[in-house]
Amino acid sequence: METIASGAIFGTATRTATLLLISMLGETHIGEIAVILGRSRSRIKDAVDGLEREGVIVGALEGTARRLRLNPRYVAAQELARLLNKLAINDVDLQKHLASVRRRPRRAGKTI
Amino acid sequence: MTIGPDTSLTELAFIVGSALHHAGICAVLSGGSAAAVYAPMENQSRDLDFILGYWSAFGVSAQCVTDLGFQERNGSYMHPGTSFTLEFPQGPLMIGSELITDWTTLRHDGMVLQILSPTDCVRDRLSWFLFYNSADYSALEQALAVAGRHEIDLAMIRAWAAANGASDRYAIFEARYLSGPPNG
Repeated sequence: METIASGAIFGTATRTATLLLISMLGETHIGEIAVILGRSRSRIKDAVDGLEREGVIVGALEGTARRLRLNPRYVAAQELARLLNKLAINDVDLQKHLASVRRRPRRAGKTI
Repeated sequence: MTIGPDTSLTELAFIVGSALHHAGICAVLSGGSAAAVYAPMENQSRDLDFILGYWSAFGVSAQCVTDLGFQERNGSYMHPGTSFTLEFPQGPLMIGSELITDWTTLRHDGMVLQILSPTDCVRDRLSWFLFYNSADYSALEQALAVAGRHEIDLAMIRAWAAANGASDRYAIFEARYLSGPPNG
């Protein structure tokens, strides 16, 4: 999908969109980012690996999924979070797109 | 009023709310169904969550609900005439760790519905967006829809979000709310 996140201020469009999504969602994983952005898992994985190498994000294994979030110990963590939040505020299309993706688990037995 | 396939969520909420009220049961409509009553949306809730307004070791009688034709299954109440389901989570009514003691009473055609106030309905929806590990943007849209159609206490919601350390994400809600009509 084309959004403000499609810009490349963090190197590439995929890298920028991935970082923005991690910020907007608080916590996510590669498969979810790939679905939301409509890009391949391998492209997202490349972006995630790069961001992780630079210490911007951190991943933690929970079950079989690697949960990604912004690294609170990154040297400019607060400044980066503020910038990403500003981008999130302005990307209403991406907010609405995220709303169409149900993310909260439902109680067992409930129909979707 | 008969419950059938054409019964809307709001109509059903009033039917059940009135039955509970006349049976002397204090139950407040909350969650996504309360938001849907205030602001019907395309992808709205199919579950009506009536939170029992007080705790009782003996529970409450479900007679008034079964009298309407609902049958209990796995904790939910289902009706052969509608796809909406009812649930009755045990109270007290809370938003996060905050006890809610005031709510709104809506009246329509002689029927009664106890429901979260619009401000608390917005807070209830926003809590899934602001505080959940993985932000729920559908809850943000529901909050915006309610806020755009009803008078809310924005200062109170802003202070609540700040007190809970969620000012940054709250700014997304406020910017959308102040920018114009719901979903605009």
